[in-house]
Amino acid sequence: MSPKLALFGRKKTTRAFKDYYAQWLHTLKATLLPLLRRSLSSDHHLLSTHVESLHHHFQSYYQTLDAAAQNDTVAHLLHPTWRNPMEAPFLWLGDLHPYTFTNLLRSFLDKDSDESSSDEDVSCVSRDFLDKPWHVTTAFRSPSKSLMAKIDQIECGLRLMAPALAVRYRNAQAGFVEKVGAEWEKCESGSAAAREVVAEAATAEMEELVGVFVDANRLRRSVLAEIMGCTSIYQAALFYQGLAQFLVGFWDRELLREFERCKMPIY
Amino acid sequence: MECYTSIKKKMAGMKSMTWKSKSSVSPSTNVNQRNESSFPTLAVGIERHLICITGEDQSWENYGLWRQEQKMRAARLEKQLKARWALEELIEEQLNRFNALYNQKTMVPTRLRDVSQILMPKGSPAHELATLAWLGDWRPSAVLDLLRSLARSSSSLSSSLSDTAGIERILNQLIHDIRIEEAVIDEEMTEIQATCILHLPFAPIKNRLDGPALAFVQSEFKKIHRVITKAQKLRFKALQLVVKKVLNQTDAAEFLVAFARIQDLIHQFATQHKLRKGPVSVPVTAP
Repeated sequence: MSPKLALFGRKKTTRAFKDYYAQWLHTLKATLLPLLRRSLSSDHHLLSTHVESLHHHFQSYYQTLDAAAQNDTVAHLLHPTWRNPMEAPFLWLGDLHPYTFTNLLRSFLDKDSDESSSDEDVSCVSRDFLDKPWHVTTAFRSPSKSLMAKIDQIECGLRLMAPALAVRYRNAQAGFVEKVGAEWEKCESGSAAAREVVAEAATAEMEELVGVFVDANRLRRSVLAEIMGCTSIYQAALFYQGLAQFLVGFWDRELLREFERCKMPIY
Repeated sequence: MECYTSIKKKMAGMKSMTWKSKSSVSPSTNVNQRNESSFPTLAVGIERHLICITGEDQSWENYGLWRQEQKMRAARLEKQLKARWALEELIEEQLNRFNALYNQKTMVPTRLRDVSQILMPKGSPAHELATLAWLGDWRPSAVLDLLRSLARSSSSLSSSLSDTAGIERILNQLIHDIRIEEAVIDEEMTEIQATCILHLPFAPIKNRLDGPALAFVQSEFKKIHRVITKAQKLRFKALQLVVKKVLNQTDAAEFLVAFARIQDLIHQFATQHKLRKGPVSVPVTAP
């Protein structure tokens, strides 16, 4: 086979992460979320399957992030240009903060306790939520003690682990400038030696950042798994529906167009 | 001859006394006038001694040389003083540039999307941001970390720092304090990131407040903007501490030169890395 043919015949083995994310989000928006909505409103017998599919979709996304995290790539994963400008400022170490998951879960619980005290106040309740059958709308009413205890436990772990990751990130950066500072005098600035010093220190830092990033993903993954483990099927369905809606919401075309044109308020 | 040598030594001592008095006072003060008037008496005294030993011609020749040397030294001193003022101006200018940069980024009314731009500037490749950035630019404590490392290893910096151990102690304290301030700002940012799912218009459970969807986004971005403003202030504070409080003028200038060069090298490294490696990719088998 001539080299030209070999080139055309070779199967592509990788694709840009940007394309992977676009595909992942599309599957979430166009397939998984509508299926889940449908089973929440009427078709209950497949609810469990659809919740599992969504859970698996999120888990596989974090596994793919981990697999992509190498010394060369972690800087891009921590500053993902494939997330749009309306979404990017809300990201923590390259993706959603794990507190987002627990806060979402709590928002259902808080909402239900509010409703039990004032059932006539419906302005705050999403229409989506009201359209659902009784056992779905009451999924979070009178939550079990074990669920509340489990949420407390997850949050307690996060309070310890999330700041520790931020400290590791900071220390990795401190290590970088310390290495560069220590070698600075030995190399004439601007020379090849100085470039070498910066490159070596940066490589060492990236190794540390891969660890930080992978651990942040582990935290996100484990919080989702724990939520899945401690909630009923209706609770988990509402949780994943909310999470998917939230991620998809950042890509609402009309809102994004308005966002692009919008000025910062003067205050 | 022995006598002549001892007188020369005495004269050298007197010369240095005269130097000190001339350089330490302003020409317009009365003190200086006293020094000026006492100078001929001193010179005459020396002159008399010289006449006794070596004769008139040689003494006048020596005195002439001494006067010549004094003029040269004064000129050099003046040049150094001017250089010092020029250096001070340059340091101030450099510091003001940083201040302007940080203020321009935060104070000028911007579009909402510019908030993202501040946090992930297009001109800074990902590796530059990962190595040293915190909320879009130099991490304040890393500026101090860099100085501590330079002071430990650089002979020029540490030799002119009169008390290296003392400086290290001050820097450790400053790093500790700045890190606390960083952590407080981090907390504020985390709070926004963690609760945005409750406030953004596409939140699953709608907020009680009603209004256009964009208003909710605007409100969250306003909060982020406030956090960035605090971060920029802290960044400038760290740089100001290094330049104004910790280091003397020469060291401050040396630090600013190293700071700019290191940043430039990191930028070059990150740009080359981006060009060489291209975008992040994953195996096609990934779902």
